[in-house]
Amino acid sequence: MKKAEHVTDEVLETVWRFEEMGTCTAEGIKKEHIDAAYRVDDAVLSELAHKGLICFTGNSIALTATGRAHALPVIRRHRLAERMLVDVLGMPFDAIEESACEYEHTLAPGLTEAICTLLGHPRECPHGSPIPEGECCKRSESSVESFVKPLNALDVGDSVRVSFIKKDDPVLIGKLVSFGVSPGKILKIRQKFPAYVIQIENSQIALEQDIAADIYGVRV
Amino acid sequence: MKKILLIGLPNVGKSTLFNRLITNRVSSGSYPGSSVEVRRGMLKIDGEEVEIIDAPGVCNLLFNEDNERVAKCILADELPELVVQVCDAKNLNRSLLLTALLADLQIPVVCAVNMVDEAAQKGISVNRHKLEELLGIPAIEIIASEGVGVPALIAALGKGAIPRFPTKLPATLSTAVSKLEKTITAESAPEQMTRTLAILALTGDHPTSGWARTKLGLQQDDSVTELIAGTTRTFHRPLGLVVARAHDLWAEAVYGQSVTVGAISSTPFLNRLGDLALTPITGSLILAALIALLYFVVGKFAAGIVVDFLLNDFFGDMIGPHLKNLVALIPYDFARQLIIGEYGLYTMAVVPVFGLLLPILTMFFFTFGFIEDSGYIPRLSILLDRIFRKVGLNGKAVLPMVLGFSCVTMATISTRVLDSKRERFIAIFLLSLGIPCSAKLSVILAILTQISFNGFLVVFGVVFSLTIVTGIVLNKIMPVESSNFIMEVPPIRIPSLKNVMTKTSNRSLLFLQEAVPLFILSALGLFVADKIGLLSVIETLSAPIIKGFLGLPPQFAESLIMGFIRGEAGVAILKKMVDSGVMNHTQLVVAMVVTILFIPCVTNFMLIIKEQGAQKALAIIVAVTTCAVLTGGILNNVLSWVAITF
Repeated sequence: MKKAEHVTDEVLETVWRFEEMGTCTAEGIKKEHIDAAYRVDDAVLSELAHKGLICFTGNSIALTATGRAHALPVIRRHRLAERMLVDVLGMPFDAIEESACEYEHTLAPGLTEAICTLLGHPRECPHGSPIPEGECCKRSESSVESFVKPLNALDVGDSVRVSFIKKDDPVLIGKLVSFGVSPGKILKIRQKFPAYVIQIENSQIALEQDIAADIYGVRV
Repeated sequence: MKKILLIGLPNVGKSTLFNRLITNRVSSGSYPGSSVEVRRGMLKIDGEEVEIIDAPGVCNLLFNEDNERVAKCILADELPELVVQVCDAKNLNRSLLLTALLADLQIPVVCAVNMVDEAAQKGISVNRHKLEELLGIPAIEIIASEGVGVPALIAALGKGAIPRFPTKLPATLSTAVSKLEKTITAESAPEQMTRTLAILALTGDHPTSGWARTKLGLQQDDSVTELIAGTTRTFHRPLGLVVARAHDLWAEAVYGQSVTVGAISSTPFLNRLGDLALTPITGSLILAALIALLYFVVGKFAAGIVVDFLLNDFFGDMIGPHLKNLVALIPYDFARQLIIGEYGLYTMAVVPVFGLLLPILTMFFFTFGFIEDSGYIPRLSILLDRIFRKVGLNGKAVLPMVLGFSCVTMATISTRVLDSKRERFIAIFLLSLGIPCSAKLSVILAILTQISFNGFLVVFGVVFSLTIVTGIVLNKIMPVESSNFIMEVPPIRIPSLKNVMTKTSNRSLLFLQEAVPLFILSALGLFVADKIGLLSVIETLSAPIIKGFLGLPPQFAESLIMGFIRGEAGVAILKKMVDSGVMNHTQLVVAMVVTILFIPCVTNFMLIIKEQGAQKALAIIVAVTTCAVLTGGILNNVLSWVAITF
């Protein structure tokens, strides 16, 4: 049987996800938890509303500021856990949901920050949803030696699974994606000087050092 | 008339296929409002003429690059009946990203899976039936360079269908797209494109003035701006990437089901050679070998033996006397002068074009075509990227700079491969300043090597350092514009002779088309200038600078004017001046430096106007001319001060 606060976490998390998608209704929330080991009914929802975590406007449900503050670390832990399972353990996308659900309740705050730093402060989960920023991201800590490294910190001959690309320029990102360099792909560093040459699937791509320094990955 | 658009990633063989498909070429020119070249041609299908449009290579449609904008404009404004997507069989998954976008456009697509031979070499085989089944469109395997599968492709053109693509955008984005779609009222937007336009407005577009927003009539709408900003906030990252990611997941799935990668029958020797060309030491050696090859084929064989035969034996001894006799029959002196006079059409246009430039350029294009076809050029770009960065360019500028040594005009056109306006400006500037074309270069080398090796060192030392310094200065003073060096390194291949021949003849014909009218025009201009005495007026007017500052005889003005029309003709006048004792060797060195630095030729000048606009072109001309005169003057004074003679 789930503990009461777990149910709160789960429901607030669902509201958060539904809000990201646009609309969140009581029906939707109930349907989402229909297979769960615990019951989510009107009583549960009105209790949360009573606690000031969610509020009803007509048919739809929204997180209050308190509710949002409560849900944020849960979402963060869940998505960071997914990131870790994929990046570090190389698990396939579709197999990580259950474990991530466990982690979201169990990770201690300090540990969450350590994982976040270790992964290089990722900005999105493997499914592409945003990971809310933590304090460590704002400070951009790098005191732990990162498990996820930029290509310029890796060696010629290394095979690397791309974790994320730390660039905001849409044109550049578009180019990288269309050359096949995107999160999850495995590439091999063939040369680092005078320019980077990477092998990705059946083609070789040359990159300047600045770009290579913004591609982060894990040695495989 | 029906229109068919060829679209595909860069380097997938789109243009090769275009050449195979069309029965006659209609036009080729830059798309209105851009410098991107679009080629059009005709194809007859069952007696009906269809226009084939060769769009520039695009990686995607989600971002706002020049090439992409042009491709989007063609799609939205010309509404082609069919799109033929050309894919590289070696990297089908990358092409599929583009297929996903085409599916949203609701335009029928036929997929041409190109380079199946190279894919097979790498052990990659595409199951085209599976691909057809998954995409719901015809997929035809072709080898465009050999024409294999092209008839089958033509036969399939009538069977184009809208690709089956279940878009799975993240829900937040999907909602935003639908919201935006509902606000669209503009009639300028073709109905089937609204969804794509909405996606584009949300992703790669400029937030307020972007192409898709303008197309949708939404550029003034604040609620749209807010919707875009809000959606971007939710994702913490460019929305284009979110869409690309969704497409990527789908592409991976299709790729996984339709492509099998088996044993590789690789060509280890060629692969090894390709790797060697990439590393500094061995790469430099290979580069040196190729330059030597170019020097022997173009410099020694074409510019020496062939040109010598054409100018002296063919035009000089065989044609010349007969033409003279023939022309002598014309009763008017004016007309006789117009044809074979010093500035006549035969002397100034026919002989230099066919006797000198055509053979040199053809041989250059031929050799260069081999090098290009082998996949070497991108490796040179990688090798020189860091060096080019110092002058504000990147490795991609290697191609225009190398071409500059054959024909600066041709090179100026090829600066279109560069990504930013800044780079194009710098490249065109440096090309017109410091790169002598092969015609000019061969004459310069011929004279200098006879006179003094030290003179040769001084001339090229000064020109080379000045070009580098100018590049560094331009790099510092021009506003920074982001430009990234990413390029695919194609495998090293054995060039196909047939391909190289086709390329060579196309390029040579293009040169004739562009150069002949200009040569005739400038010959006429010079003829008139000479007749009305303008030439001697110019000589008198420029005497203070030429004589006073540069320390050269006044006739040097004539060499510069001639040189402006055809570079090597100007240099030839210098030789005459040295031979007749009007100019000593030290003066010759100064004159050579000024000649090389001076604007290459009138054709190039016209092209700079076309590429950069009159204002920038004028700035380039003024700057280059000032540079040339100042450097010449300083060199003259330094040489006489330290009393160096050659």
